[in-house]
Amino acid sequence: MRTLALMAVLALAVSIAGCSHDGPQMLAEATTRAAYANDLNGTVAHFDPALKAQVTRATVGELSDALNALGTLHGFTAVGSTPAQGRYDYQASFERGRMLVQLRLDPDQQIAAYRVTPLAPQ
Amino acid sequence: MSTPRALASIAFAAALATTAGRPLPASANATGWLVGGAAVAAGTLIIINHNKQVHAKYAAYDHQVAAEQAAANDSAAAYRSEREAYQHEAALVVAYKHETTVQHRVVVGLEAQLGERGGPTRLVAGEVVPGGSAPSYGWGKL
Repeated sequence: MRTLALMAVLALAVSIAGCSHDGPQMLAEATTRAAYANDLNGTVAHFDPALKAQVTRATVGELSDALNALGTLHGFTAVGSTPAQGRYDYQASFERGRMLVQLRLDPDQQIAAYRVTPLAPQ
Repeated sequence: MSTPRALASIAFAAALATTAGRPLPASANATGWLVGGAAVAAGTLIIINHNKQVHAKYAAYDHQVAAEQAAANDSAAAYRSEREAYQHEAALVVAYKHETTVQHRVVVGLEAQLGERGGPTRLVAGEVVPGGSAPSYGWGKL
């Protein structure tokens, strides 16, 4: 019984550590992958209420088209951050290009602004 | 100060002044004060650059005089000339610091302009899509 409790505590600790590891990047990736899949609910899952109100099916579709035009999504790289202002920038690499994904998080760690801008080919 | 560096500073200032005079889209009205600030900064940089040139020239002259006086075994005069050269070089360092501060202010202002237009604010050189016509997707103000 004691061993089971210990394992549960360990599992919880690992889980918490996993969640807190690079939280903003996880939010950026989850949101971008949802937009890539043209998933409205997934795209706004981490948005704060004010930002959710701005999102429409059409705008998610436009973003999805732009992302899919670059082919397969390979991964994300952090390119800059100003945590005091909740600002985080990532480069999303695709099969045929790159996008700059920019976040602003509110004090509750919800996304208050999310912007995606094409980057020049390397 | 080397001539290429002086030319680069002047070119930077001129570029800022040129940018300040370029017509901007209607969306940039709210950031007009930033453009005005860039023009002021360009003027300040020209003045700083002039001051740097003056201090560098005097420092070089004082070094030369000190060397001549040292060669003539006039150690007291050589010391005074070296001291004056040092003071001009110290003033040159102050001018460089001021120049850096002004340039930083210009960069921060331009980043703010980009942010207000919904564009990226901390791009690395060469990353902007040519022509500045890149569409920006997403929601909210960064």
